[in-house]
Amino acid sequence: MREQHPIQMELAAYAAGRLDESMRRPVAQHLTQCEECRAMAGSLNALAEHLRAGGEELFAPHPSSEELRDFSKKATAASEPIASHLEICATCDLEVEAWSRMGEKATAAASAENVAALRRREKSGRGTRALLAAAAGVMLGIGLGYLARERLAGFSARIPALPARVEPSVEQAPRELLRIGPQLLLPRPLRGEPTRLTYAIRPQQDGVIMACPAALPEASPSGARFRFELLREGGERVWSQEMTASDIRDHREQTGVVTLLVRADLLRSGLYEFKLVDVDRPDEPLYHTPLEFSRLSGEAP
Amino acid sequence: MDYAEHSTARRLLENEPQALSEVIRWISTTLTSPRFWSLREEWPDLVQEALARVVESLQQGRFDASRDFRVYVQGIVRHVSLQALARLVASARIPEEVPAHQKPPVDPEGAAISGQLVRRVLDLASEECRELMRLYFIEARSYEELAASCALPVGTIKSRLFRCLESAHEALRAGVFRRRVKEKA
Repeated sequence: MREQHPIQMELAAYAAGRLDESMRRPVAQHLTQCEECRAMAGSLNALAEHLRAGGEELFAPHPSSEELRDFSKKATAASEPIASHLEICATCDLEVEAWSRMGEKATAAASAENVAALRRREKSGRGTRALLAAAAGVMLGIGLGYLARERLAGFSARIPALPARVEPSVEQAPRELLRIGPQLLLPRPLRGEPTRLTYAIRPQQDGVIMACPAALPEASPSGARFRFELLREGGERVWSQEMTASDIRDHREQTGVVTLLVRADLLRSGLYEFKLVDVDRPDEPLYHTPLEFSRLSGEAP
Repeated sequence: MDYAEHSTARRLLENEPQALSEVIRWISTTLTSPRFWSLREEWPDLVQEALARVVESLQQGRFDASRDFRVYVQGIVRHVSLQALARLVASARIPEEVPAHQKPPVDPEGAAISGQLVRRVLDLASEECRELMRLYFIEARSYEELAASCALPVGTIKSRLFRCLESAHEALRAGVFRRRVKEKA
């Protein structure tokens, strides 16, 4: 049985950001020395982050097999909840994929035919998959390059949502492309004090994609202007982006969040506050959350 | 071998859609367990392969009808997956250790864990664990509030939540580690 440290019992509260300073410090200190607890804290932080971002939807029941089969044949407006479920459920997504592959001939025998065809393909050219992967890499590179040109030049255009399965990696991206690292998913507004998330910026990272789940008041007219801003400890605004209510609602409707790109060179190690404010009433934030950025080595130029 | 008229095995051989749905769900559930997360790109092919093997077994009468068909199907899926995993591990290099000073304050692996893996881990957790995690992390209830609503001591609630999270951590770690091996390959 694994050795258990008494401080492990505090890791849930640590991940939830609910420890006061007098308890947080010894836990943080312990984590610098204990690899086992550090790994567990990493998992729990990620788990807590996904739970906050996903909310009740993560606990929703799965659609029935029949519903998934019907969905694979024809997705309609009424099947929107299923599409949304597939985004977070690998098992149901796989079921739909299996039905899609079988197509009209949805029988067990069709599956056997598909396997036979697959084996024939493997025999005839093992390099095909590598070629497809290379082509996908080139397409991703072009996409990221385009994103870099559009976003880093003036911060004027909206970022298209990344496909769910594409996880751009700083290490894997060629040097001339934009390296954005993992997405920073901001917490949903919950009761109580917001949790402070810590984000590690890698040395070669060009940008940080932030996904903000904040919603606007229903009464806000479409043309009303809102500003997302990032303030360094002390109140200095290091980055901001204005959007209309209509744009923000479009983002939320399509992806559930507003996706924003911040240049990594604007961010030094330290404490920040992320805010969403009405441009006409900047003193009353609609959403705010504390953040901590940590550069892994070297500071911003 | 003859299988009982209304058995899933028989209905599968007769290409009844409902039986096929049932078997595909068993296969998908087993394949998407965290231990096989690194096979993600191959899942659709593995579903097909497992299904083909199940049908082949049934046609050759290798399934003993007195046993649980679901367990039999899941056994075939695990066999197919372990073979795929063995191929993957054989072709993968051992991940290089990251020097301690280069590690960020929060485990970077944690940030890379996908929401789908989290959902799968929640599926595998007990009903009590899911409810505890939901109340603690989503509804932001305190230990004291949870203890009061369950009529249990605070220490018991704290300990139960910890056990649930420990299991979740093990599952997440299995999924992430195997994915890293795959990435290095």
